Amino acid sequence: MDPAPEFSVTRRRVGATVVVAPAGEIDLATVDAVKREIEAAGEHVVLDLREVTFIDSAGLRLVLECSRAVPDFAVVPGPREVRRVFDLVGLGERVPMLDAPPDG
Amino acid sequence: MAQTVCSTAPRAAWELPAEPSTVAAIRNGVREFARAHGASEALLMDVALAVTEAVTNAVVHAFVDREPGTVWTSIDAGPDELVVTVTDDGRGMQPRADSPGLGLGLPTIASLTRSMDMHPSPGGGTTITMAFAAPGVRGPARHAGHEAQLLEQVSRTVEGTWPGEGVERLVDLLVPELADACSLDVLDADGQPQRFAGRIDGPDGAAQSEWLATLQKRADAPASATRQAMEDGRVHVAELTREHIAGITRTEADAERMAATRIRWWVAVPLVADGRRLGLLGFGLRPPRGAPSPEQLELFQAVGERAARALLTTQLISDLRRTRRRFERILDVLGEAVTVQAADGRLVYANTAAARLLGVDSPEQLLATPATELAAAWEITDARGAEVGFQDLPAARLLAGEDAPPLLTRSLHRATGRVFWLLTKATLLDDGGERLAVNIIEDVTASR
Repeated sequence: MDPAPEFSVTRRRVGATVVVAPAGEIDLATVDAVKREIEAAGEHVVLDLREVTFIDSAGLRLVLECSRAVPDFAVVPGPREVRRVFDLVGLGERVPMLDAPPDG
Repeated sequence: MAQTVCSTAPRAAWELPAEPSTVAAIRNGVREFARAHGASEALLMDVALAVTEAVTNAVVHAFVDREPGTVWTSIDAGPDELVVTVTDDGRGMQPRADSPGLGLGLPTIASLTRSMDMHPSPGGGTTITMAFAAPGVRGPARHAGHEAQLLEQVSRTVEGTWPGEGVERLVDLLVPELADACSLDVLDADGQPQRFAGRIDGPDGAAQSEWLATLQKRADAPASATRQAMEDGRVHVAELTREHIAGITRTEADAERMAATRIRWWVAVPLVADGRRLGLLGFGLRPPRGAPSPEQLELFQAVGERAARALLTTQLISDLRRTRRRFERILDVLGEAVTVQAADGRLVYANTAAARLLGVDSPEQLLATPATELAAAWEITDARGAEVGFQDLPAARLLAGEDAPPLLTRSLHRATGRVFWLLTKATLLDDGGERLAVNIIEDVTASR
């Protein structure tokens, strides 16, 4: 069996916005790392999921929590593995979605 | 070109500690297996997500206040399907305030699978079974060996029992293995289904089972699966909507109780063996199991065939026992005349009272007398004076496949001029090889 793929989260500032970009699979084991980065990012956050290859309901819950807790929060949904899960629960109607993070 | 044979084995299984990193390990293992078996990219996503939710449930729910245990996961490739089971050894799906899943886990699984089932596993803990429609995937039919074993158990359970004397073991065997509810009806002498056993799974199962075991449904409703199965001898499925329930129950109270079982689909399987209709087996399914698939219906039918064959044996033994008891009672106490007639009209048994009544010296002599000669010795008319032919006698009617109510005749013995009023009752006896009619002839001359 393959070992679990590598997972990482980066955080970068673009003007007033902080872009949090996890890479890899978001599940029970990795969701807390993403949460910590978002909590440290301030009030204008974009969660960039373009490098995310999998997300489960633990990841969905994080996105929903952040959309309530962070005053200015948006998501770049990324690949279809992620969009599929968002569509299952109709997340696009409840959380602002962007095609790409702000330049910079 | 190299081929990896082991990568397409029909089954893979993992035993791993119930900790967060296990979720990804199992997800990737299952994904690899599904990919190697030709699952589409869309299906890979669904399987990965559903398995993640199930294993996450096992990891976070099953070990409250305890050291992490073990999670067992297996995936099987079947004909156009993939089946994943996830089992933990924890304390089952306990509610947990800090659940990280937002309660999305189970609904997510349900929306991704063709069917899903969650139940306590034998050693404690919980098993989730998820079946995915996987067009193009090849593998052995699910539980093929297990099904054969189950069918054997059905035969063994029914044989040697008689309705009311242990046949409830059959419904116990089938619930919850195959269905959430199961009932057994045996047709009575008038061809009406009589409920002999019922079992419903669930927290209120004991009370609900008791209700089901005595439930007399209305079999006259046109949409009733039971009625349709009785009429055409085939398997029928009904969806138990409120409207449907109202149509098949006799009372408001029964309708309420039926709705409260949450059984959504009812499958009526006729029990037919050697062309003889014996009864009905009913299977109830709640929404988590999904509407019955063609494969499920085939299995239900196979169970019905086994049960019918075993029941036929059982019923014949009981028929014979009852008939013998009847013989003994009649011969010893009442002294009524008894004869047994074969399909070709020949008498194969007669008692002394029958011989005396029919004017011969002994049963042996009676059996040796050709039927035509016997018939010629008598002039038989009905109560209104109309001539009664041999083919009108109850035994002959039964053997010809007609109904045969008791018949009162005026019989004139031509040789002596004596007149007897005889009440003849006939019962059909089918020993699987030869059909026989048992006549009980009562001399009621004294009461005329």
